[in-house]
Amino acid sequence: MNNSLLKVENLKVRFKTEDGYVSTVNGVTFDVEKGETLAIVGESGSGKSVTSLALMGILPANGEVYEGDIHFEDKDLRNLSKKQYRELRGQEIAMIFQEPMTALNPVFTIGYQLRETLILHYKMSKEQAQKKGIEMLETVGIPDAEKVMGRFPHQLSGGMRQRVMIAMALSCNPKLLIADEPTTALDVTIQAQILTLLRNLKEKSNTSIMIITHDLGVVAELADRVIVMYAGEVVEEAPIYELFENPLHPYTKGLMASIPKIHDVVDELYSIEGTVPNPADMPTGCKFFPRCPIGDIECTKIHPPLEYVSENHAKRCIKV
Amino acid sequence: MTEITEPIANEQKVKPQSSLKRLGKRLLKSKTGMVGLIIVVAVVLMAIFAPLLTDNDPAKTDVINRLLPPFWLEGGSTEFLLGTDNLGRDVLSRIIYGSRISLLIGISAVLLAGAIGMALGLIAGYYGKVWDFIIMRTVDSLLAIPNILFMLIILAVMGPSLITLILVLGGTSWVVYARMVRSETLSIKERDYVRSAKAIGAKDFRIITKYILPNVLSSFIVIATLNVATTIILEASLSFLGLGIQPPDVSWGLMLSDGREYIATSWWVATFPGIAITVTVLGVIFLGDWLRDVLDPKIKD
Amino acid sequence: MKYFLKSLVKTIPVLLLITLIVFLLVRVTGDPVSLMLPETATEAERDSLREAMGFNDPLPIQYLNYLRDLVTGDFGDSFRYNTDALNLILERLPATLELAIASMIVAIIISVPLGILSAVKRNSFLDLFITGGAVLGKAMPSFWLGIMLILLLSVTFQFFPVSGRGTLGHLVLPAITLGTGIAAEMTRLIRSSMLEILGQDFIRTARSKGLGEAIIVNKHAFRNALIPVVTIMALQTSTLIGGTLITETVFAWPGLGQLLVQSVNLRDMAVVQAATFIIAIFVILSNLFADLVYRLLDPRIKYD
Repeated sequence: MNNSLLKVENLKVRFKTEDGYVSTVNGVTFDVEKGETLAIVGESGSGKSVTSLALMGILPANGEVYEGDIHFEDKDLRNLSKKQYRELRGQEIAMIFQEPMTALNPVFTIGYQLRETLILHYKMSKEQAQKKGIEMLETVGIPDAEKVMGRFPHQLSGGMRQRVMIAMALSCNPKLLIADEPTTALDVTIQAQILTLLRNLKEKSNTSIMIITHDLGVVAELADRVIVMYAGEVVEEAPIYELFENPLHPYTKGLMASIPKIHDVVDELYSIEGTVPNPADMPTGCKFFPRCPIGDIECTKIHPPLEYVSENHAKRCIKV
Repeated sequence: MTEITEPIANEQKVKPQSSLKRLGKRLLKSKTGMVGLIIVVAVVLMAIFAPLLTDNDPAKTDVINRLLPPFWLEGGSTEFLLGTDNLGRDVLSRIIYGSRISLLIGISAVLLAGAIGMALGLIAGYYGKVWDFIIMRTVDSLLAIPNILFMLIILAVMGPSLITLILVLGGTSWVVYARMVRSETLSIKERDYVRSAKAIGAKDFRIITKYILPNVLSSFIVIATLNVATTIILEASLSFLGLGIQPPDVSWGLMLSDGREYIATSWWVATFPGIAITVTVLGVIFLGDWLRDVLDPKIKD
Repeated sequence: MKYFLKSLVKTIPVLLLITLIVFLLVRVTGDPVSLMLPETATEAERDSLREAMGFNDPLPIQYLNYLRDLVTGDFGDSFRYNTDALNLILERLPATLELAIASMIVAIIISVPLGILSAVKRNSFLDLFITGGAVLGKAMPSFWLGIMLILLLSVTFQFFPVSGRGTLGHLVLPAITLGTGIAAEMTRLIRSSMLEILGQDFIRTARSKGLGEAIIVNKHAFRNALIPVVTIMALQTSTLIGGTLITETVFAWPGLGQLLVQSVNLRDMAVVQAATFIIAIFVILSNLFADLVYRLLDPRIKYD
């Protein structure tokens, strides 16, 4: 696959805490191809957001990548200087976040925050940046773009702010857009609008998208390929149709079962019992075993490897 | 924010020993809190056992031995370890006895201010309306006059003495407590358990003492501790300006005022009492900061 | 503007209360006549002065007279200097303003970089050093710091004059003395405010845009951190003026603070009353100003 844009191999991330290091991403391997939309799915605590922050090189101060490789095109991201990484961020890889309410700086105008990126990466003049900014706002479907440039974030609704975030992220025409739960904090109707927007934008440009979500509904709307993460590991990887038709890992099946189906009349939504284990206190063997409906004693003994069952479908389970 | 005070008022009373034990454990963990505690305990012991610590009378003048340097300098004597002042009084014993005034005034003025501030804050917050208007406007007015100026004026008119000093320091610094208690009361009285107590006809006095007071207490203790530090500095300042403690009583601020005249020739007279004030206040601040971290994470600087 | 006018109206009861407090302080807590006359004065002399000053009228009438005098700008005469108290105060005001502004500058120069630095390098040795220094700065009585500075920099090294006003050199030590306490307070404030802001989501956004750390800290974070800091600092005007009383006494700085301490000691009550009233107005105005600046710095409030 020479078509790959981002290649992550055996990525491990840990955080320094009062009681020593805690590892939250434990050897994650995947790649994102050019023009592809990859979804990373998992509950909170599965390490999916930390993975994206690690790719961007913006882990919190107490976090670090301590093993593995990240290649973006021909660049080895772990060996970039701070300055090179900065040039990459915002220009080649851009990111939008879950909370549009707090992700924009409250004391600067929308225009200022949009222009800032353009002036930084493209050395545009203020006037050029202003023009391009308005253009970007129009692209993401904001009416009255010129006026909105002069507004402060608190004057816009959540959906509008997320559009602004998308405009900002796409303004430098990045090769990869990382979207971390882009719709979670929004109303259902606004969610649909934002997803449609992302899909349309992707069709127009050649940007690859890596979307991080816990919502398989979002995945179905947008993704070409899916990676399911659990407790800092990839537990299943498959193209979108394959995954929905033939999920292998019991965790994936659990996630599927918890999507409400419109035509079914159910009394109670299915949910996977228990929670993601604490990274400081991981079970030995299969990490999903404590919550697994099909596991047995064998599962506590070996830590299952990620096995390919077909060319593009992999699972981390010895029982299926 | 609310997580800390949200538990029902009654829970405050659960097993005091175990929470005291926990407090002790957390104190051992905090280095500055420990340093603060040690300093404060040392100063308290120094004040209580002053006569045992030194044989020299802090007020005894001895003109022949005036302005003697500390013992390690030429001309110094081991009889006066930290030297003598312009009237030949022993600097060390004056510092030891001076701690009595600092603590006595620091603590009693804070108790007075706390009592006034707590009462007025509860009234303003609980009853609101006219009470709130009168009390809070008075607070605003007092805040507009620098408190040291206010105290100076009263002391000038009433004549400085230990009692007036305590009254003045306590009578002017209650505003801080009143403000804090009022705003906490305002939020607590809207909580469900207070409303339901009201609904079943509990008397105001009972609601205030049983439900509101215990919830205000932790912030109150933190502010009071830090206020001891402020009060010690204020007492020293007033004594320095000549309207605080009057001789023959001994106060660190007074010593500094004496020492200032001789700074060019006899540095020790003003240096040591200043160190005494700084270290004591430092200890109180460390202790107060630690208490804030433990009792009341929601108030910041 | 409408808001500003509203706040102005709100200060009227406060101002009235202040006049009452100042009035009561002097008239009720002691006998003003005995404060004004030498102890050897006869009872007849006292009586005639009392009559002349209107002290025999009932208190409410006296208060109304006092208010009337205030409104007409009559603050009474200083018996020590035998001149109009207001003129005396206005004469001393520039020196105090000079000191206050210089101290604020000192405080800002010290606290802004140190506060930011200790927040960015939190829990490092540097942070410990800075926060430790800030607590020390708070614990030191300013008059002692002043004396120690004189000892070190005027007596031992003779860099700066011991006291008085005139050259820039005269200003250095008093400004440091008064500025240190404020700097200590501000450093702590800036640190905690910056720490809070640096943990916000929009800082992560700024990083993801590829901005440099310097721009993120000094522009994106500091602009936000400034809002509470400026507000709280402007509310410290009263403390700052209180500090001039002591600093000016230590350095014989010929300003309002020194005049006040002298006047209090001499029981020159006309000057004390007038100065207290003027200071109070100044403090109230600066609080209004703080409110205004707050609104200016935080766009979220303007349109509410």
